Amino acid sequence: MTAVESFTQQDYKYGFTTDIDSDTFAKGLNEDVVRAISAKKNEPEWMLEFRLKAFALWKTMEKPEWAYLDYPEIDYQDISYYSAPKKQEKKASLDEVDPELLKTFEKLGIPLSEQKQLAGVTMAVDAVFDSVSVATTFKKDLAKHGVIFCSISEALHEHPELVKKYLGTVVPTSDNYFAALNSAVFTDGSFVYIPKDTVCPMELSTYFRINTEDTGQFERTLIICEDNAQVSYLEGCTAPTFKKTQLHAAIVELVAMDNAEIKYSTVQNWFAGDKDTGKGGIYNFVTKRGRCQGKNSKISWTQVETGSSITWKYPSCILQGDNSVGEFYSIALTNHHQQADTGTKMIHLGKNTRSRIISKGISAGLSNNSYRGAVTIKPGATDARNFTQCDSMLIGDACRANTFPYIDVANSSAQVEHEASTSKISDEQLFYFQQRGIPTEEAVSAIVSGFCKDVFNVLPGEFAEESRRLLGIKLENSVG
Amino acid sequence: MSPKAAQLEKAPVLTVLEESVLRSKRLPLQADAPETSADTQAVMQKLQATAIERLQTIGMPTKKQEAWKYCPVHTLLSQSMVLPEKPGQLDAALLKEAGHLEPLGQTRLAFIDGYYSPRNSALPEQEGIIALDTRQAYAQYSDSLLPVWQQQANATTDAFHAMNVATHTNGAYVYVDPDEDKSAEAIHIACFSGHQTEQTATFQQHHIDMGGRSKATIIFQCLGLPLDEGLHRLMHQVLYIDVAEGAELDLILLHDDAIPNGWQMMCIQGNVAADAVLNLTTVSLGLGTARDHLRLNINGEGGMVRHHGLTIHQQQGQSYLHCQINHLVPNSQSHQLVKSILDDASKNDFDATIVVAKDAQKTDATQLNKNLLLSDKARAWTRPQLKIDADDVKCAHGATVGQLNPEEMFYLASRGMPLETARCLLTYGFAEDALSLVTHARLHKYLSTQIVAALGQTDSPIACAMECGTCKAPV
Repeated sequence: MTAVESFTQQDYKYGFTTDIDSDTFAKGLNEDVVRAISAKKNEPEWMLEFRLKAFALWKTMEKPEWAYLDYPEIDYQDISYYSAPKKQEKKASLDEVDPELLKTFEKLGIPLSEQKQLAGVTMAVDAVFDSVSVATTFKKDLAKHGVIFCSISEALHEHPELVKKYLGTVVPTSDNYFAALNSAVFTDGSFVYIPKDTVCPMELSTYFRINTEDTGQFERTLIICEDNAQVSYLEGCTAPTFKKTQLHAAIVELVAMDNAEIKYSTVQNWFAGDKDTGKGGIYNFVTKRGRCQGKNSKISWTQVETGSSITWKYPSCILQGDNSVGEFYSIALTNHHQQADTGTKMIHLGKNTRSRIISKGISAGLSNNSYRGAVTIKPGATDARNFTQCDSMLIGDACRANTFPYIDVANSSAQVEHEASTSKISDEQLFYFQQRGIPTEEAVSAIVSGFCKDVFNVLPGEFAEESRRLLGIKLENSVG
Repeated sequence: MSPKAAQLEKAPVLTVLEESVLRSKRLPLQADAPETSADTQAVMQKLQATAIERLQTIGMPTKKQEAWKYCPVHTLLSQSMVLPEKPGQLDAALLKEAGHLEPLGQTRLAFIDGYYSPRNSALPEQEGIIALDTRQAYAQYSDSLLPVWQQQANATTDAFHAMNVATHTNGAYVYVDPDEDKSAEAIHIACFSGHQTEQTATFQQHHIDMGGRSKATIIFQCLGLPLDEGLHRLMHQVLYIDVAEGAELDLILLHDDAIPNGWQMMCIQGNVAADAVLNLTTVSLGLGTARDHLRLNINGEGGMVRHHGLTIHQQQGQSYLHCQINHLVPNSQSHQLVKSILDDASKNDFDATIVVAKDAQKTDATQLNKNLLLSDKARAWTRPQLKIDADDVKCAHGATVGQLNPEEMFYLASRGMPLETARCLLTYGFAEDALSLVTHARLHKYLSTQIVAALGQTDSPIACAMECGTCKAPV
């Protein structure tokens, strides 16, 4: 067996569970559970009210049916809404964090020890295990620059005024069914605040890990970038192999003030369900939205979506400030029984606003991959520009690729362009590689890499390499 | 019981339009007329019952449905309308002035308010073509018409289509014999609105049946004439098209409504067989609202659909295209180019889907929508969609919304052309491109004239160039 073969025939390598004593709520969802979550986290009164309002609203809402997805009804009473490793008091030093947890993250390749950083790269990490944040690294170094990087639970205690000011302003509770649910029961997530005139000295990153069976993960991330500030933020996700599906409904809110720049990258590798039966896996229903509030601000979403059995995710930009820029770069890969309905929304409100959408969808096996996007130019958005390119690649004849772009223009000075194509890996391309002694799997991986290069190019350094590897693994045995 | 189930249990609430149409209880094909045989009456009663049942299952459209998302259909549904008892007076002078009375083909079938008008029609004896109104056609060819109506009554998912099946009056029936090439002389179908003092809804059904390897050119005009201010009017057409193996049909559809409350809806169900070609050009002008609902199936290998669309609107004019092209077999092609020029507060929605079935390998499909916005109040929505279940296909789509290219304007201006002329020329050029499927010279000229008028360029050098061909104006 060649090295390449052994590499590509790996199964989902993050499918292990960590045997750790957990404090898990009984299954079920009602007002008492919402209160209990809030009490557990010792939250201020206004936060509890926020949650209860959201919960009351959620009960009146209907789940969205418009996505091109097919999944059984979710029983919201069959989920535990809180699970945390015991002894989870946040420690002053990493040495005091449960070694079992440290080992888990080490196994996942996440550097929680500040000494053991990836070669040459410094990255601060907030690690979220089930419902709570277990460790945040480099907090002190960041604090020297005035940067706040902590879990949102901590932020609620230490910087309540900031959280109160921004929470729910980009994704209101009433936004959609899953946003309302998250607002009611979110348990943790990251909080980032970059003060004026500060370029965050290192990459920030959050790593999400679902460990306990029958739990849902509802995290909430809030990033605020003041005038002239910049930050690059990475998000990674994995989960163990369980037979039952698990729900992940998150909200990410970004706010960029004048001249601020936020780059948000995601490598999503949740467990995708059983290869042959499609059983299990994560239902990934995520609402991500950024508001370019200030002039000349910029928000850039980059995502590599390879996991989850169902993905429902549309990272969006509200381009409110004049001259603001929104970008969306995405690779969505589905294989076996996976289904993805993902894309973006660019809402142009300010003058001279610009947006760019590059989406690469790859479907293989029996999967179903849809791009769904909306570009809206409101009447006041003079001289707005949008360019969209979404390409799909089909591997095998049993998968599906769909494109649903919506464009709504209400200003005559706007220029909107959309183009899309669908193709397959041709026999000639494969033949070319094979003729030169390159095995099929590797050839596919190379061709897919080429297909995705526009997106790889904007991914931060080692993430590009990791994503490239990930795509290779995910496509194993999908050709020939 | 869940709230949703409880909602379904409730009796359907009829919209005002629905109620006024259903109350009339007129049988399809006016089969309640005394001279109709008891047999036909019984058949039509059954057809109507099926269609009404279907209508009640589907329910009337709402903005919550993707297909009607932007269309202000509620304004139509809240209107009370009558099915006209007899055709109104046709204002021929007005039609003539607008250039609509030009004889576009030897064979002409004209309808006023859904009633056949022999006076405005011409049906010369011709080998190889059957052209009749559907009432007469039914008397002779019920075997081929009735199964289609019955099947549609059972299967339709469009509420207006179901209403049409239940109450349609008359329409055109065209059959071209196999191996006949009738493309040189166009067949002209015209549906006019007559002068009515009430709000009217007309429902018509038309059939175009192309025999194997036959060829034909057909122009279909749907023209709404002025009415008393404020009155609403609905003209609803259903058109069944069958293009048999190796046949080629050039079909041109023109919507033009003179009143802001005039609604013209068309539901086209087309089937294209192996090696057959359907060249469809849809043109939508005027001040009213046009909505085309297209379902085109390519059922045979080598089948091809080309669709060009053009919308030019001013004031409150609106066009909604809801189109689905289904590639059901391998080696088929579809190419779609739809353009719109929107001034004032006009609107255009392009909602088109290409569906490639699992077995339809080697499909080649393209879809392009271009919109030119001339006013800040104009609005363009575009939704070019692909649903692909086969892997060895070539599918591409694109959409643009923008203005005239300033570089092109500069190019013309730098050669001494006045800006206004340059603007006219570029706008006309943008529009004219959509007529490239119309190869029939007389029809091309007729449509060009209509476009020039719709663009308000009748005094421009372009109009002059078209008229005499020797214009010295700096074009």
